[in-house]
Amino acid sequence: MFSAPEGVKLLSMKSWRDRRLLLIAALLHGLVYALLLPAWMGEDEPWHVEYAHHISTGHAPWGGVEMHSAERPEDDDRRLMDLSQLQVRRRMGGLNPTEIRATQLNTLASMKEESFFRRIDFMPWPGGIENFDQVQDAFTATHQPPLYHALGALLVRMTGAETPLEELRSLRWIALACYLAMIAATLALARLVTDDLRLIGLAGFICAWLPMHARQAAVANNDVLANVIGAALLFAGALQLSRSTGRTTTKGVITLIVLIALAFLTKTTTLACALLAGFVFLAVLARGDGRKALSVAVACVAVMALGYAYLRATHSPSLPTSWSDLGGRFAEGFNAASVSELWRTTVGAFNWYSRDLPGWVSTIAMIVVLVLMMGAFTKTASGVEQKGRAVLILCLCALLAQCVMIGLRGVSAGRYLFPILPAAATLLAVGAATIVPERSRQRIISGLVIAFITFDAVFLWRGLLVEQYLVWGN
Amino acid sequence: MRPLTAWSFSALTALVILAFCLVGLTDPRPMVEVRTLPLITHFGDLTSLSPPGQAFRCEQDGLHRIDVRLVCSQETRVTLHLRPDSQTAEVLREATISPELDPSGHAWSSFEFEPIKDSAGNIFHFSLVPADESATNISPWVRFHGQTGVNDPWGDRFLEAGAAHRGDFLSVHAHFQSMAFPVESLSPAEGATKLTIFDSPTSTEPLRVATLKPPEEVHAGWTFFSFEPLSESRWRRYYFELQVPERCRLIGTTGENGEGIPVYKTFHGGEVPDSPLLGMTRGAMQQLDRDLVFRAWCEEPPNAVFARLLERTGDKLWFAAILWCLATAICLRLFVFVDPQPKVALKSTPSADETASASAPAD
Repeated sequence: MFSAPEGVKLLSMKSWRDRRLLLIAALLHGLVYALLLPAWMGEDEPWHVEYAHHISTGHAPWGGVEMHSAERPEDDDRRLMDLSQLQVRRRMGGLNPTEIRATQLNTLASMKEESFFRRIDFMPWPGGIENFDQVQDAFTATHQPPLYHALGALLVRMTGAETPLEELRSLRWIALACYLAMIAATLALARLVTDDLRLIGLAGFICAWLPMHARQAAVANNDVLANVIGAALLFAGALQLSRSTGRTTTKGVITLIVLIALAFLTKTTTLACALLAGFVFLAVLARGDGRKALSVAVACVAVMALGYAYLRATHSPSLPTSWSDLGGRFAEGFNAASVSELWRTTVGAFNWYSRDLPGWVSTIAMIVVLVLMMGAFTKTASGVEQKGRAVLILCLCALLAQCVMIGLRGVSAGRYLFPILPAAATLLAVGAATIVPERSRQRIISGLVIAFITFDAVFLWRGLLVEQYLVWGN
Repeated sequence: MRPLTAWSFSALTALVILAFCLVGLTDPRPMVEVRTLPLITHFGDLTSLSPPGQAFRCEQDGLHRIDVRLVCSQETRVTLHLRPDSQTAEVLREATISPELDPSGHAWSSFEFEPIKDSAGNIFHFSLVPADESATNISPWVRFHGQTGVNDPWGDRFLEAGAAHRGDFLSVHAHFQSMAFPVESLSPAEGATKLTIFDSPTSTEPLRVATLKPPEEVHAGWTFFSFEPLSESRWRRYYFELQVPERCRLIGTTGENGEGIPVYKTFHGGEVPDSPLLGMTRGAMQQLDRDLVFRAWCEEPPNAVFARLLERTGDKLWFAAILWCLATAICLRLFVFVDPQPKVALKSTPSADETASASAPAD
């Protein structure tokens, strides 16, 4: 779609050497966030560490004891233990109440020790807190699919982590690896759109330097793995679209099905990518081999049906329980407050989203993104090269589908957008190249990179550092 | 640009950006701050008879400003009296302001005064009184030391004056220690004001009794009834009876049968050790289980803020700064301070020599 002059290709982004350098820079950048993000300051970390802890101690995420509510409180299971603990017992096999309580108490002790309650403004008074329900009512991570937590448990076992803090630190290494994988995926996806190595690099850079995504390099949360799987699904779809033969390979189909299964085992935020990738495969197949298309469709639908049934059986709160629930979520997810929240938490929010960046930073970011997206849209509409154009359309569809998916969840958070970050970064890079003539491309790239670096610096040194270390409540 | 020069420029630019950002870190921050969201209980209208106050331990020199979150729906003036030690001491500083109109109560109202040079390590007390006797519709927020169990919002109707109000609820947490009710106007001097807690509707032996005494007047605010915590209160049903003076009206809501029912909050938990917050006062009465929502500022030299930052981050700050500079410099080198483009026309194919030199590692 964009072919760069040969000289520029060789001199400004020297192929693999420069891509390796970008990955090294991203690694260092991720380490900065890993160093500066205090313990328990990634969203919902206590619950994810609790889940991984129980798996690491040999308890399977199935075979738990079902819980029952009752009309009379005296008959309700909550008389036995708090709701967050009942939810753990419902999921994990062979766990006794004492163990569940002890894990929560140890984690709460560590959270107090690490000044967690002084940093998050909406947290309750910490004196006398004994369970997670007193931190956030009726919340748990154990209704999430277990892939991330199983990987985390493995790492916890390998590192020999014993205390909640050590377990948290072990899990954070997964986040760093996933962050790097996201940048690699972005570079690979952008490569399918353009031959201009500067733009490919720019897409990777945007993915790495978007501060809220860089912060994900240090968060113990299954969102980080969901990002990678979402990105892999998008890449699989894009690769299929860009094949000049227009045919699929058996290896490609198996990869797709495995990725869809992994998506269901990780988090529902990947489902838009799974649907989109499946659709792309079927669309490509339908043009040629009809029988093969039918078999792939059956396989995809079977995996998705199994995945859906699994999520339903594990009480995933992400799935609507009825049509009226769906309607309610739709209204909630697409109102102005939710959209504003989605933007706020994508651009920059600290301390579990309880504190914001200054408004002017958000406004500038919105203007830049709108201009670049306009450029990307123009290029997609007027692009001449079919291959790159199809991938760009896929990227736009992914962005749209992910926003709809977030809306249907009824809960907005910027991190739910990140599975399609490679697509968004590619669109922004393409948009940057479109809004200026060819001869000014280097200038716009330089300008954007400096703008992102400044944004990152303001976010990190004037935002995160201040809010996490200097402004503590009493 | 030569590779070495390009790397130098990249590193220098990264350092300049970092230095620019770090300079701003030395802006002063509050020395002590009650940060709590959402704000759920307000004190009620200010009165000069039993003004709300707060004691705190100052940990730095140069105390010069106190901000209080005030609900303020009409223009009025408020005076802050700052005293050493307690509310009985002589006034050390005084500041009068017209708070910003903010019915939501999220705005901070700042009281500035001449700095107290040797404030570190001392205890101070401030109180808020209306500057004009007629001042109403202004109220500070109160943060109670506990987690909420039942958490009803402010009601929408008045309940019958002077009646005994009854109700029951399931306590979801342990350490039940307080209840708060919204009232239109309550003056314990006018009659018995007592909350009694039972563990059964037929019981005559109360588990706890909390009685309010005369200085605890409340006008259009939440009134708290605190008692010795019930440690085993989780998933227990409690029954309460609230007795108020004849002219007192509670603010409640409408029950299922159209009758007026009380709204209230329950609080659970315990104290936190080593806090610089030493509790609220109401007139001469101490109320150690709650605080006003406020923050206090001291004149800190820039190096003191930076020292605090270093103390809280440890060596991690320096490592992070070095890594950030390295990462940023690499990106600047890759995208901004790039090697010059060949002077040949872009469409022409580079010569073999040019290609070879371009493909070789630059440095």
